[in-house]
Amino acid sequence: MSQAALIDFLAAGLLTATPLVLAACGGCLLERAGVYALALEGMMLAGCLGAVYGAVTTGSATAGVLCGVIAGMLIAAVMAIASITLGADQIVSALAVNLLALGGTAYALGELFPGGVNAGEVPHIDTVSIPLLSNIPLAGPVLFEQSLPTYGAVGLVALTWYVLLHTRWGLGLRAVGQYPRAADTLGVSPWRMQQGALLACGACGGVAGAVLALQTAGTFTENMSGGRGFIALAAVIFGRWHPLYAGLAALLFGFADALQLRFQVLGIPVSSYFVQMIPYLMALVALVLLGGRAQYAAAIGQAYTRRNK
Amino acid sequence: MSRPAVVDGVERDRRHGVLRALWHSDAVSSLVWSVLAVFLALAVGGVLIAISGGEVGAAYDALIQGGLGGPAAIGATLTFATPLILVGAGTAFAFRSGAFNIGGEGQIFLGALGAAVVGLYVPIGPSPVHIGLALALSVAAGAAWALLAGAIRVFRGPHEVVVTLLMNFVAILFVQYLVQGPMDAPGSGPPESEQMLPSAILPRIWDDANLRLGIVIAVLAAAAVYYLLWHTPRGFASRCLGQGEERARYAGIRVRTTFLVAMGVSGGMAGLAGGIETLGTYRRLEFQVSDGLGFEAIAVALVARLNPLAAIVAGAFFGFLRAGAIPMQLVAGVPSGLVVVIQAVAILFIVAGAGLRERTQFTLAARTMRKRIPATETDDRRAA
Repeated sequence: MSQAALIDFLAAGLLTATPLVLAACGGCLLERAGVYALALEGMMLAGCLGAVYGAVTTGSATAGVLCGVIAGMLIAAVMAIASITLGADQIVSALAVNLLALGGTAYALGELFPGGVNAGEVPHIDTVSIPLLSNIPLAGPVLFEQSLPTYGAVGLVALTWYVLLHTRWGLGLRAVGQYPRAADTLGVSPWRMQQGALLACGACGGVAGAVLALQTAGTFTENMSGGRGFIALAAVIFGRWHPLYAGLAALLFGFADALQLRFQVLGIPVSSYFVQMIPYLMALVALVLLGGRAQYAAAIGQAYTRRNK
Repeated sequence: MSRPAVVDGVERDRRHGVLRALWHSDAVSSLVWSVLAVFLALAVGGVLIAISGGEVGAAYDALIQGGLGGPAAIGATLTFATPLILVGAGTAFAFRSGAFNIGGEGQIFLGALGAAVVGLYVPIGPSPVHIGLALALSVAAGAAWALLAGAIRVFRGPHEVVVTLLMNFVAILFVQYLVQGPMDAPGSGPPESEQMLPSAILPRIWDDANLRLGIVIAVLAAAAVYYLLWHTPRGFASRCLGQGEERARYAGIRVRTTFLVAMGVSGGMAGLAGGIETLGTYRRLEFQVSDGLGFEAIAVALVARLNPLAAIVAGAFFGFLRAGAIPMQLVAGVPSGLVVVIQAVAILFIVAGAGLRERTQFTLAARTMRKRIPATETDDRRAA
């Protein structure tokens, strides 16, 4: 691989990894709070459409990202009402919420864009080159000619790490995930915490979707998230629910995703179908290798109730 | 009542009066809550139709006409219902056992591939033998894929939901690679295989409705799964595991084996669905064998309250929605995606209702299984 191709590949890897890293941050928060983060897929998909709609109507990518966040949080709110407030089974309600996002975006696409999305009208997230640093050979163009969300993803990982592991709120969140009754006895409401974590996760998933739509794809197509929410979730598990490791795992899966395009460009004679499998296979292999060391939050999946069982 | 009291709440609740027993009885509350949830979901759908400027009455009229008006419509409903009944009944079995097999979609694709390989390349014997062999391979393919996911869960630990979801993409891409490449019929437009050999094609059972044998197989298979679940020791073990891993272990049930059986049965049913689609509905290996049937089947299983027999009715209803959705979109200008929204809302109402009433019957208790599943004593004894 020539140096130009290498730079190209690495930069593209960071680009495709960005949504995964953003989503993985939300996944970490949520699963540490004792809620399965399967709804990330739906949050991302909703974020995609929200971002495209917001960006096209206002003409600003920033406003688009904000709309993506709101859309992701809407999905999270539905999930919160069903699984936290009403105590519905988390796995099933997450799957239902994903289905809702799938159908809802298809429906809303027809309502908001009767003639389909014109990709040319969608404002794109621009890359920002950081002066001086971007002149460093190899590392410069790879690391310092990225878009704001990519820098933001690094910041979000650090923020999640800090909030989750070094603040009172994060401690409460983890307590709720481990032993909600103890948290409740000490005045930390498991429901409030989990609802908060869901909304935060929805915001992360929404941003991830927005970046996917406005930066990677530049338009909205039905079911465009295509399982990336699940890959982000695999990264969370592979990173053992630690934001830094989850972020690194998401980065790894992002590079696997970026291989797709590179294989085609380099003319490597492998069917594109097999190349498309790579990120999913990598996520699977990672989960298998991780093996029994995976340790979910102790109370994950259980709807908390004050009644004795 | 052949159901053991420890699993079914009916016996316990009967002491508190007939009304309360009825309220808590599986059959009655299933029916009431499922029907209510479906109607609420249809009402939400009506609101959405109205928002998008459609005429609600005309839309639902088109839905009913398209799903029930005349033999062709009924045939379409039952043809759409066939895979949903199969995967729905299998999913019901798996969820009852606390095994969250969400990989129906990928298992359908592999089942379709299994049937297609026999149906295209193995010209064997008279038609029943050929069909039987093809369907057997489709069941084996679906079950094997699900068992792989189950084994990963049991022996390595990661939750089967994530594993089956990721494995879906691998299976689908693999089958689509074959249909696009090596198995593609030369000269045809869209990527699809050659037509199945005549002896492998499922016969028509109702000519006016263009209905094939698949629906009969589906109903029989769902009934068999029901029998397995409620009237055999194996099924008792499955339901026990669904009530909680610890409890099942305490009762001396082989947890690992039971979990794998649940994955295998549900995977086999999904594979069979793919096989029937290939030998009956399409008669070719299609590029898009399934467009979310595996996920829709989860809705079927939940509306059926995880009862494989009720999955026949629920599957027929969702088949009706699919059959009627096409004319509804064409005639009444209802936007696409609406039927999916209706399904999602129905699921949400059902699980939220169940959560509200804290019905332990329904709480899919294997959520407490979170690490590798340790072998029980009985597992070890068997191995020794």
